[in-house]
Amino acid sequence: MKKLIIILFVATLLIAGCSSNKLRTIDKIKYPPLNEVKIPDVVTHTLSNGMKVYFLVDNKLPLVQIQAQAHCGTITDPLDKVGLASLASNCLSSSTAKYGAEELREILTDNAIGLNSYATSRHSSLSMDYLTEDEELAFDIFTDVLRNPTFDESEFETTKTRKISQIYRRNDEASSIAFREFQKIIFGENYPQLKQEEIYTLNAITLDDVRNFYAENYYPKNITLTIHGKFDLEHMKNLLENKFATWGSPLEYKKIARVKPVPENGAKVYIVDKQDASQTWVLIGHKSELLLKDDDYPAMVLLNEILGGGFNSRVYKSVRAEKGLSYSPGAFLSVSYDSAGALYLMAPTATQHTYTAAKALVDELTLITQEKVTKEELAFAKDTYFNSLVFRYESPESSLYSIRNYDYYGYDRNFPNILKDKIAKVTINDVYRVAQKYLKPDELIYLFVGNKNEFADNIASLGTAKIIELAINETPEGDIVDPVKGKEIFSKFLNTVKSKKLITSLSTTSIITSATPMGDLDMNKTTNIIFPDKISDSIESPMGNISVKINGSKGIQAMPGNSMDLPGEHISAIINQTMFSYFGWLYDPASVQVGYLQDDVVGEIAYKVLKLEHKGSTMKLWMNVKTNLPDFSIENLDTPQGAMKVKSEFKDYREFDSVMCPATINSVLTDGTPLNKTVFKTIQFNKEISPEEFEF
Amino acid sequence: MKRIILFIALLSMFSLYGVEFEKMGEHVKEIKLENGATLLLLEDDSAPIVHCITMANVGGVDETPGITGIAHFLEHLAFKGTSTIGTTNYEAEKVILDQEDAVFAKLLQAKKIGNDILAAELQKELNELELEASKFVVNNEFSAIYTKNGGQNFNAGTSQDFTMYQISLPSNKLELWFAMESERFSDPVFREFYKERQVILDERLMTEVNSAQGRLMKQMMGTAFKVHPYKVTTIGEKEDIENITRQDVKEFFNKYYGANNLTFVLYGDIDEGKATQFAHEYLTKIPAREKSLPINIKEPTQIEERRFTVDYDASPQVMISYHVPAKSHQDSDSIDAFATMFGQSETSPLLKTLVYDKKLALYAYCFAGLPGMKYDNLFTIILAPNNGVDVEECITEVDNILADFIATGISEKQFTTYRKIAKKSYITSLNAGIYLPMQIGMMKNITGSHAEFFQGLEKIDQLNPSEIIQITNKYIVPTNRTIGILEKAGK
Repeated sequence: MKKLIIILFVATLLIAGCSSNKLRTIDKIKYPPLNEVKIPDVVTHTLSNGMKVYFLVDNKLPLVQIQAQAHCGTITDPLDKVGLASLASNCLSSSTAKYGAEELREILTDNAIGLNSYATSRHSSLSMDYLTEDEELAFDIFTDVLRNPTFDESEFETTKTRKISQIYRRNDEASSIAFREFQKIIFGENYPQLKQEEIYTLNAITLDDVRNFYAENYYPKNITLTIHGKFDLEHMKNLLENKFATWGSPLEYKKIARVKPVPENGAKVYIVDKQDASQTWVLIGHKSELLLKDDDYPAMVLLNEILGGGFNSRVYKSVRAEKGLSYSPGAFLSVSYDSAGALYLMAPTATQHTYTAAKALVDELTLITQEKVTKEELAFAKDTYFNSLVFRYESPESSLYSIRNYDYYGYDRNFPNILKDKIAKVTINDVYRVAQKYLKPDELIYLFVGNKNEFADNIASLGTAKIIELAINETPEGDIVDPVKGKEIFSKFLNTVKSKKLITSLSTTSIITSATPMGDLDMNKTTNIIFPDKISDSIESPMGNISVKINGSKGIQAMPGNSMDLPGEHISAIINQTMFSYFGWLYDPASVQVGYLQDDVVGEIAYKVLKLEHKGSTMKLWMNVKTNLPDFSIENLDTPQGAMKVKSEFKDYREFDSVMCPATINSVLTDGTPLNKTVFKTIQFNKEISPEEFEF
Repeated sequence: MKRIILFIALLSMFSLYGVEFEKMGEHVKEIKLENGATLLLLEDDSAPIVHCITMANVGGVDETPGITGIAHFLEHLAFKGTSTIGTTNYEAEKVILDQEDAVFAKLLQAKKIGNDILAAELQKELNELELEASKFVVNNEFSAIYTKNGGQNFNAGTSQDFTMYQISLPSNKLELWFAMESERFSDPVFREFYKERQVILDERLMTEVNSAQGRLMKQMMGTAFKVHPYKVTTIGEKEDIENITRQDVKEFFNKYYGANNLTFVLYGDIDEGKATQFAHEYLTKIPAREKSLPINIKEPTQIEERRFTVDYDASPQVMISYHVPAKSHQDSDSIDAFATMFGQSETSPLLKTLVYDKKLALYAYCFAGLPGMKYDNLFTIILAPNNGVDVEECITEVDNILADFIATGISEKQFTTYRKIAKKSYITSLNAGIYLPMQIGMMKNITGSHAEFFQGLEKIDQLNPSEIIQITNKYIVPTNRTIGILEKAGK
């Protein structure tokens, strides 16, 4: 550790709020300059196999902490196996080629060596701490765990059992319910960083899954080591080289990209009903996209301090000290390196104060977006920030982990000093601007966890509340789909088929080959559509021309000598069916809810199976992995003849009017009974279609 | 500002680990001031920071019936400032504070006779006076001064045995700490008293009423103790919190916050000479008062097993508690050793069987020192059954494991492991920032000597494995225990 003199700590001698003209004792104190700060000397090193290492020698005590961080986490868990990364990490440290499970636990305990492993959304960590005197043994174990884990079956079962027990316990405390459910609301249930382990997702995970996860993610270039404590640097470098040099892998480091949250546009007010509660957890806020590296972050640091930073923040003073509404109120906007954060206003409060506490929180939020903070408040926030900077050096290891993180997230290693300089320059107007930009009183989501009957009436003015049920299911309710992956696959398909133009109308000529008791028939059919609700279908049959015309909410069916109005439900059914078809998808893909279900192989062709939903209808679609195009769909249809399972094959893809379309769509019942077959002769997109075509 | 319960578990671990590691213990300077206050100094210049602890030798155990919760109440009010900090005009403010108290006295009387109309009127009058008083208040100024000077870890905690105030500061602000704490304990003003009562009632809702652990703990104390003040948790009874007066708090303060009941611990980048000089200049302003005496209430020997069930909507939890003697008793080191070897490590018999081999429990742990250590307390085993496992099966299994451990005895290897774990934990505890002076202060408070914190390993070396079993076995008898189960009826 090198010594540097830091002059940055501005000792502020002025103390505001004096009670009288005469100075009090505490106002008269003259503070000496702060003693030297020792800047931790973090050394970066790369082993010959590509593994990156950060060292910090700290001889204060004969202890060493070592951490291996693999760049993999829960974010990539398949939706039907949520818990995989976490289970794999937990089991990693349970047994090795050299040490059986029980033997490993024993040798660790006997030597007071701590060994821990866990996964977060994007990282999996294996950490060890030991007395310097046990370096040799500790390293032997650490290396063996990292390189040769055996994933003992009994340990795997124990870990699973304990995880399942934890699931059963997840609704025991109101505070944990509140934070968990609130995040699901504001980030969306399907936000990959919030994947929730369920009993059935854990039960679906096999020991092989865990072993595969390890094999795919734990290799030298995907692991970063940090070592802190009392050790000899050169000796340690050699030791690491000896232990890891023979561990090679051609695989490159993989950075997991961040995913933006997509909240569902649902209700504004949510309630979790806990009938035995005499206290309500109030949580209010919204998501935020502000990042640490953004230009507005320095002002946010001070804004956070003023709004909810501690005993002297506005929220604390108002909700606790002045109104006595809550023991632990709080307010802050969370900000991270590269992922979405959120505004949180919170207060656990006695049931009868539920609304009052919520209102007090929102009032403070609103005020800070409407009126500028005072000069004194800003000065106080800056003093607080600058005078406490020295605590950054309280634990040298925090510098070690910060530098590792700056490197990982692509930040300047000098980030804290750059930030400090920017914070010094923040003005009242900056704080005001940032408050208006990032705090949105009109977009607040409210969550109340408590005894609903006792406060529901009081909060009715906030809007209609949606009740959240906290079921712990042993089996899934319905299919488990991954919307993020689904969207990705569906977009690939759209990009493959679609020319850049926006499709607004469609005109097709086709031959219908229909299987009827009378045998195969060839009939010419012409369809004209102006999306979304003008449809005309005309079939030349031996009996004459049969046509169906729909124009908005009206429609007719015409046959030679006969014409009848279509009932409303038929009209909407036809429109919905048209929109939920190959061409409908091209016109308005956003109207279809897409989720990825699973991988499948049919006749040696690999597929990604999607589940599509549109206005209550669902269909499964087999997307050919090679072509990115659907080869067939399976749909459950309710017909007058009863429920039918229909398989539609999309065949003979070619370009029509520069858009890739199947030339043949062949529908059969899943038992093989042919239903109908359409062969397209022409398909034209965005053709001028006369409005008369849809008149009747 | 929290109550300390879980710290006790930590303390029981840390208390074992004192050995003279690199002579750290010898470096603690103990200074006795003329007013009876004790100052402990431990230098560490690795960063220009100082961690500051004030230990008041008073806790929940010193309360009398009718004012339970007052030690904790007082701790909250000790953040409200002095006659010069937190007010714009104390003389004018004081007049209103006295009026508030007069109205509150009438309010209590009206409630007592059931005159709701009068009570409502008086409550309104009180509210108005509070509003009037608030005009003189500089909100949270005491904390503001620390905060703007870079203070961190500003907090306090109340346990059964002691009350502790904490702050960490940049080390050039050391004098500020002496000045502030001196005023805090020589000239406190318990302003915003009635609002703070609401905050405390809300704290009680959060930590005790709406918490599975809080409920189980409260019931355990009330069941295992019938006479000793440990029977009431430090938050106090709701009715008492509601009825405590400002005068009660003043009297309690005058009784227990004399300089001779205070220990100040400083750890970090400090100059001994300067610190001593400041101590004489500032801390001596705190008046000496009557030395508070240990309470002399003995819990009657339990003669039959007690059991209770808490019906609460949460997953099952079990607590099994045996009466054991205070930390100062000669048996306590053996009991602590027993606890560590029986159920604190992954390979200990309790965890090995319950969690790993039979997979009955999600977790299990044991420790002595609940809810305090100054007086006879409880050796406690806590566990959470895995889903679907019957709590009775767990309890029976714990009995089997205990019996087996006692019958088999402690092996040489187990004892060596125990010592090794103690050594590592002790060294780790020396790197714990503000927790280090906290532990030192606690040890001084509980045993009367800070050196105890550093002597744990030497004490272990004096123990004899077979005696550990023999001694502890005296207490591990069914008639000496209380079993508490928390579960939702019908689930």
